[in-house]
Amino acid sequence: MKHLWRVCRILLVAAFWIALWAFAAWRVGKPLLFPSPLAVLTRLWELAQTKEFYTVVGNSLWSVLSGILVAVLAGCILATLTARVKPLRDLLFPIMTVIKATPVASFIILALIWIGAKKVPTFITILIVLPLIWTNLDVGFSKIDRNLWEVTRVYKMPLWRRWTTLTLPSLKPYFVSACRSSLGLAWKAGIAAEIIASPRNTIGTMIGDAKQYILTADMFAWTLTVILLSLVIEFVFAALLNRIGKDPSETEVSTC
Amino acid sequence: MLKVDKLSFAYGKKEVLKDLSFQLKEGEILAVMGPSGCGKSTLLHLLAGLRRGYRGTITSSAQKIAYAFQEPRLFPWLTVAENLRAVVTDRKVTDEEIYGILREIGLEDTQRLYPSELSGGMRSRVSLARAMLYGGDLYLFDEPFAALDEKARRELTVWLKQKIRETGASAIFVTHQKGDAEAMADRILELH
Repeated sequence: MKHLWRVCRILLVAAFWIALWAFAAWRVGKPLLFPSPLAVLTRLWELAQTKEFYTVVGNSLWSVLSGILVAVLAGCILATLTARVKPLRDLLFPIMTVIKATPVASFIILALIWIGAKKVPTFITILIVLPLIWTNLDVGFSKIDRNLWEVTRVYKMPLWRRWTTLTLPSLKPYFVSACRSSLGLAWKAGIAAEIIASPRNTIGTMIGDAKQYILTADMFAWTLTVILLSLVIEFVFAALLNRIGKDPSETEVSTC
Repeated sequence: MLKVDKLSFAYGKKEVLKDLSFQLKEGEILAVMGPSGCGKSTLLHLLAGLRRGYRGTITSSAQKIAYAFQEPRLFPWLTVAENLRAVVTDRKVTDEEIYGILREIGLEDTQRLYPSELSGGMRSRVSLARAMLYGGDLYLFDEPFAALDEKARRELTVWLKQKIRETGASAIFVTHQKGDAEAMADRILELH
C-alpha cells in the first residue's frame, strides 16, 4: 500500500510538470521555439525507430562509461598511493583542486586541440570524475578509525585481511558517495564535450546539429534521451550497491 | 616472560611513566592499579608495541599478544561471530568454537548481531572473547570489567582467570577495582 502510494505520488508530480510544460508550449504557441511534450515524444519515437539512434546512444554511452571506469580505477589507485606516500598527496592536491575549479569548457577546448574530437568526451569525463573519486577516498583514508587500526596491528592481521576487515568497509561510504556525485556530472560534462567537440554520431553532436538547424523538438528529444539514460544508469548503479549490501553502521558521506 | 626496566614515557612534556621496572613470570597474572592518568593504559600500549618513543627497555619473549582494549573496539560492520573470526588468521575457526566461547560468556544468541545491537557490557564481553579466541602467550586487559554489573563482573573474573590458567599464558590486567585485582591476579603493581 505504502509502495503504491509512493508510485502514485511520483506519477502525480510527473503529470503536474508535464501539464505545466504543455500549458507553457500552448501559451507560447510557436513549436519551433518551444515544442509541446507530445511533439517531443513523437520525435523521440521517430528517432528510436532508426538504427542511427542506437549507434549514437551507444557511442555516447561508451565514451562516458569508459571515462567513468578509467577515472574510478585511477582514482582508487591514486588514493591508495597518496594515503601511503604523503609527499605524493601534497603533490597531487593542488592539481586536483585546480581541475575541480577550472571551467569544463576550457578543458574541452584544450582537449580538442590536443587529442582530437573523438577522444574529448572520454577525456573530459575522466577529468571530472577522477578528482571527485580521489578527494572522497583521500578523506576516507584519513578518517579510518585509528582505534580499529590498532586492533588490526595488535592482532597482527595480514595486509589482505586488514583491507577486507577495516580499510574497504571504512572507505565504502566515501566511494559510494563519490560515485553517485560522479555519475550525474560525468553525463553532463560528457555531453557538453560532445556538443563542443562534435565527434561523429554522438548525442552531443546531434544536439549541436539540432541547435544549428533550429530543430527544437530534436533538441528536446535528444536531451530527454540523456535524462532517461542517466536515470537508467543511476538505477543500475543503485541496484549494484544494494547487491554489495548495507550494514547497520553505514552512512553515506560527501566531501565534495 | 617479560622484563620492563626503567621505562619512561611522556606525551609531549607530560611524563606519564617514570623509571618503571617490573618483571612478569611465565603463567603469572599481574594486576596494575593506580589513579587515572598515571599511565596504566599507556603501559599496555607500550607493551603491545602501539607506542614508540619511550626510554628504558622492554624485553619480552611473547610471540603472540592478545589485547582487550578499554573500549571494546569491535568492527561495526561485522557481526559478533565475524568480529571474533576476523582476528584469527593462523587457523580456521569453526562455528562450534565461536558458539562455544560465546556460550561461556553468556552471549550464545548474539552471533549474528552487529555491535550496535549490543549493550556496552555485551560489547566488552565480546572483546574479551575475541582476545581469548585469538590466544597468545601474553594477555593484556585494560579495565575489562568496567562496563559490567557486579554479578557479571564476578562471573567473568572466574571465567577469565580459568581460561588464562588453562593456556598457561601470562597476563597483565589494568583495573581500578581492588576487589577485581585481588580476585584475578597473583600480584598487584601500584602505579602513582
